[in-house]
Amino acid sequence: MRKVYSIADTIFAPLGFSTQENWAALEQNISGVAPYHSTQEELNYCYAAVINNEKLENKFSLLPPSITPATKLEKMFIASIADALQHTSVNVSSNRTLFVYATTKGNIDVLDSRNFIGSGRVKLFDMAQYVTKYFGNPNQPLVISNACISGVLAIEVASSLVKRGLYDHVIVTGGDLVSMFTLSGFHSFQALSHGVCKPFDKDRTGINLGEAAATMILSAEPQLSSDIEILAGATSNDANHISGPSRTGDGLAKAMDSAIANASIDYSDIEYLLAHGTATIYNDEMEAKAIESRNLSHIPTNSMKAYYGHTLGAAGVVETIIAMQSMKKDTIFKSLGYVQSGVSTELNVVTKNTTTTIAYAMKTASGFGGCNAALILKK
Amino acid sequence: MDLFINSYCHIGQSTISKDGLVLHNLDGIGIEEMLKNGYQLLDLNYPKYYKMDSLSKLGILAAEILLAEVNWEKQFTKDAFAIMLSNSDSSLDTDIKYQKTIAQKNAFFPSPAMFVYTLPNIVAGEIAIKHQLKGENLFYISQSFDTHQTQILVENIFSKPQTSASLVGWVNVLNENYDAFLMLVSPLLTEQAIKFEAQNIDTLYTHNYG
Repeated sequence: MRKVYSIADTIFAPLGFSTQENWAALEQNISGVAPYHSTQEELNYCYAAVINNEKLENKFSLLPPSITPATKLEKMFIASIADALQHTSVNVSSNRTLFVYATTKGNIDVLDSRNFIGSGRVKLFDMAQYVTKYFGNPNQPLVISNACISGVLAIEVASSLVKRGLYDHVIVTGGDLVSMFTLSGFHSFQALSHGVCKPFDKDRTGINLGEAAATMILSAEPQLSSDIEILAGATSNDANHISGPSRTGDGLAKAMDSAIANASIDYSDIEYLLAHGTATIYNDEMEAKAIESRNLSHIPTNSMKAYYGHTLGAAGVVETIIAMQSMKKDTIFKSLGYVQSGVSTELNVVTKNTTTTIAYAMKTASGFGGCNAALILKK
Repeated sequence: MDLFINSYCHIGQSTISKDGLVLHNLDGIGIEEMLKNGYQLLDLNYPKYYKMDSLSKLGILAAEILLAEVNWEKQFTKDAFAIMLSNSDSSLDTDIKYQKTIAQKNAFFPSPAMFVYTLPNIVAGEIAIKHQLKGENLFYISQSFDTHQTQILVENIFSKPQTSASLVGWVNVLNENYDAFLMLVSPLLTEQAIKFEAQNIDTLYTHNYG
């Protein structure tokens, strides 16, 4: 079986339109989350990480034009993929190159007739095909929509396809919008925070939503000796509740066990854990239990949600890129929003930017429908 | 590793069938009635069913047809039982209904009970809960049932030691249109097993029950 490496990446988010711009903001612990101005009064309390439309238009106008008008999310995907491709010589028009998308809601904003743009590509596959055709790739895209584990799962599936030799390169891209649709839904769950979210903190009250499009290019050959290897991953289902995590963390621990086994390493090898850390009461507690059950409580752990909000289908890709950059640059960022432990078992949540070497890292995610995922990265 | 289709079922526009045999005729009935008839036919007695959206109900029915007869002690481990589903319309059927609850400024009534079903993988979660299946999950979207892509993804999932069997297939609902084709796939060579490969799946899926 071949190995698989991530040879280029881009985070397209409020903190910046390239991984470098994002890194610079993270070094200063800047949050992309801000008060959200909604036309719906009930939502005026909420905070979200939103990409400025004007800046997006400016960036998008520098790219070759699309044949038909693109939606906001499609522009984000295109700009993100185009930026990642700049750093490689990957042939996108080859049938040995595959596009894999991770998204929960795609162009959900076009369901609201007031926002109707483009050809109304509300179907996820239509959106993915539009973006894929923009780049002239001949293959049918693979579109993964598995709630908040979509991004991590897409990386795991894509890496398997490269390992098996079915493709030489896979472009994995995850994207989702902040929309009235998702905001109102999390509002109805009383899951939205009234300020910037506080993962694992005692004062956490819920999530912020965010929007992003993040891209990783996977290859059987590393481009640079520093390229991170995607070792293995796994998923599981709690089989407990469709909208609440298990109380015990057993499901997440099961996915972590499987990922460790598939990577042929031990838990003692893990030196960094980039958690899901949504800042809801139940998610963070569940994760803490899973982490403690595998004796990882002392491992440096952080959550990116106070920087980016929860970017749903994009989150796994955004956060895997940050984990890889942290490994390359020997830096673990402060888990923004965390001051004092608010979970029943204390974790080693990182409270200031820290310099340290990391040989192996783990990225985890959990989502509605009881799904969990874990991914192992190697320097 | 050779993989086999141990059993399969289809809830299509005209029939509910299992392993190629018609269990129930659906001629001329709408989705609501089909979901009601299916529940009675399978003698489900599962009150949670009534809270589900149409996509989850359809998936629950199809899964029940295949899983009700499994001998769990002898055949498969629930911890190593995966669920791998795909469709073309994601959760759009419920998305459209949910959008109506937030479309007007003065009539803003989003409900968490409906919102949770605006993700396609919730049907896999409902099946997992009902049958306590804790293995791998994957939900993906294609234009139509893509048996070639499905074969590749199933091979992926079975390459992991954590998978000993999987529900695999297509579950799609939009308005009055519904279509569910599920297979129980494993390396077990059971009596009526059919080799798991794209061409065989195509044949089974497109079979016309007249």
